[in-house]
Amino acid sequence: MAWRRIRSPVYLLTWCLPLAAAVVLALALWPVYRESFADLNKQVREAIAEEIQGLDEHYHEKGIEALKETIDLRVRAPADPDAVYLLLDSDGHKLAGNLAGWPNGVPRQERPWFSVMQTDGNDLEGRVFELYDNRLLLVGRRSPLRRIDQHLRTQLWSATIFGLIACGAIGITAILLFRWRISKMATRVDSIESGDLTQRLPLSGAGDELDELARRFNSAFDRIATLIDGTRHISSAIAHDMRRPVASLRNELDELSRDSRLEPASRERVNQALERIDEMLSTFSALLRLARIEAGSFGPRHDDIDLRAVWQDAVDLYEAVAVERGMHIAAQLEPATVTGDRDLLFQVAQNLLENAVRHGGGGIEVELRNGSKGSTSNIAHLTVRDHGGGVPPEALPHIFERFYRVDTARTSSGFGIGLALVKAIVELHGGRVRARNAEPGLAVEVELPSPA
Amino acid sequence: MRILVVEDDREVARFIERGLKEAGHAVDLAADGRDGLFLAMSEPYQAIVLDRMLPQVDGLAILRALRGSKIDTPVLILSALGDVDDRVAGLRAGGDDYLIKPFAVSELLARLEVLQRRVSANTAGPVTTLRVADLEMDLLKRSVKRSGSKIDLQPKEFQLLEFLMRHADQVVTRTMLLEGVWDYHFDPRTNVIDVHISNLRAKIDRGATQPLLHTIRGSGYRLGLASD
Repeated sequence: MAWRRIRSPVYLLTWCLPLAAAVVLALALWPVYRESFADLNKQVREAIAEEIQGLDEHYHEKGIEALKETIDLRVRAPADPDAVYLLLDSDGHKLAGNLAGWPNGVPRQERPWFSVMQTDGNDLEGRVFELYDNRLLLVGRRSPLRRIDQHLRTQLWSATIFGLIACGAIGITAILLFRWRISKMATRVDSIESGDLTQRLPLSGAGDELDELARRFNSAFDRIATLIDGTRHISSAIAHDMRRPVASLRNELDELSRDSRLEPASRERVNQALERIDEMLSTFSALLRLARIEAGSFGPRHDDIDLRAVWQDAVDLYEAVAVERGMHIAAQLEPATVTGDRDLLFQVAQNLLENAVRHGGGGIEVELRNGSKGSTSNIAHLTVRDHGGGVPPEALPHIFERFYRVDTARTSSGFGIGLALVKAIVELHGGRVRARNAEPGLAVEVELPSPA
Repeated sequence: MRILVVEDDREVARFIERGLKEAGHAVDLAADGRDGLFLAMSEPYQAIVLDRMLPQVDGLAILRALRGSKIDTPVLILSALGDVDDRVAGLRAGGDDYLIKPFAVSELLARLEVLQRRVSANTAGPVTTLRVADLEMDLLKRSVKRSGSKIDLQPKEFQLLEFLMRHADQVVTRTMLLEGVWDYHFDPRTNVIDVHISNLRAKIDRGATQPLLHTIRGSGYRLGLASD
């Protein structure tokens, strides 16, 4: 999980981009740094070599006193404030120069090049030159190179760290912003998924890629909503138009069944046909009722309904059916009040129990809890759980669709419109319904807001 | 019984007329609200079957006009709309019962019968004991006896039996039971009511020589001694 999150493009962008930038910068800047440093070093050495050569020539031409004078002159008015001179006689006594004594770590003999660190942190670089008569001339520079180097490194490091922190901060802000927008979209998608097709993804107004994506999704949702409206309309239009001819057929058969000339066996068949027509008609009227509820033209009544009593009635009614089928309904019902329509709420109970009895096996559990959510409103939680075969996970979101069948190849009865009606009624009452596999069996959970 | 049927759909009107006549009732037909109102105000009927959706004058307007002129004939409203709002509106306008189209003639007959009995029963005082053949129900003690021996019933079974005994020798449909005993208004699905009836039958008819609770094929149930 954590790895997948790290691999998400947003994380990659925020972590990898600064890192990559740092690496690229380091690779590009390091040779420059090295080169300019070496160049500086070379310049210092060249200057020293030149000076020593000049002094040596001066000595050869004018002798030791002139050399001393020249050195004193240079010490008093140095061309380079970092210049260091020391002239010793053969006994090691100082003749001239601005160094107090022979620097530690430098051997007293001719050296083409030395470099020692002094106590003040500066380097002393230079040459020792053995003059005639064992005199030693030391010419050097207090080199700021190491200090510059350290300074440069500190600067570079702090710049890098600061850069990384800044990148990180910008990255994290970007992630948070991005995730905040994504999560806003996700909540909307959740409510669209749970059936509220009036919801659309929010646009930030920035007109960026996310907005563009959201706009496209929104137009896709518009299209889906239109299609769904169309199918809803078609099914209710069919139900509406078919009801009349079927009703007239029913009337014919009803009269035929009362015809005294009818053989008992024929009468039985007519009665069976009537029962089937009645089933068809009740499907039609359920479809029409569903259409009216979904269209919102069915305003629920706002009575205070004792939900526990409604469910107790439904459980009592269906317990006998369950027992007949070798099942049992175990009900745990807490008191709960809901504002709404008693008949419709009973229909919810009836359809859920009907479904559990038809598709389940073994026990059926009904639970009504009055859970509080916040202090202002209460939510009545209702669960109907059977111990039947359940529903394949991929079918779970669909069982609240009208005429949905879990197995299209199978001719066994599907969910019809019972659960679709349940969803419509629950949503009419401002509630939510969802199904989950209880393993074994199916659990349908209903949440209804109840007045505090 | 003399019954007025106000129904604009000719086919449905004929269907009702034939069904009621077969059951031995006298039927007058009115095809629109104006004729219906005129007949209802001028002739003495025992019951009126009134379609809710009528040309010219709306069914509920006729009902209000009737009740406004102190005509208390029981009215059964027919409607293609089956939802609670419509039912409530119908009953509030002064209807006595409400039946959703399409319906079985047996359902209509059973309901008209009940309306008729209700009118005649209103004159009697409150009853404390119900009796059908050798089945006795004491409404105060909430006890039931058959041939003198006590029968234990669940509260719902008691209510169910009470409803059946109050409508003894009448056909009571499943929908009427759901309305009368459970007080819910729509078609009971599957055989929920049947199961409760057969449980009740097992208790009251067990070991009895004459069964009292009969299933009427295609209609519902009847409590009483066998008529044939």
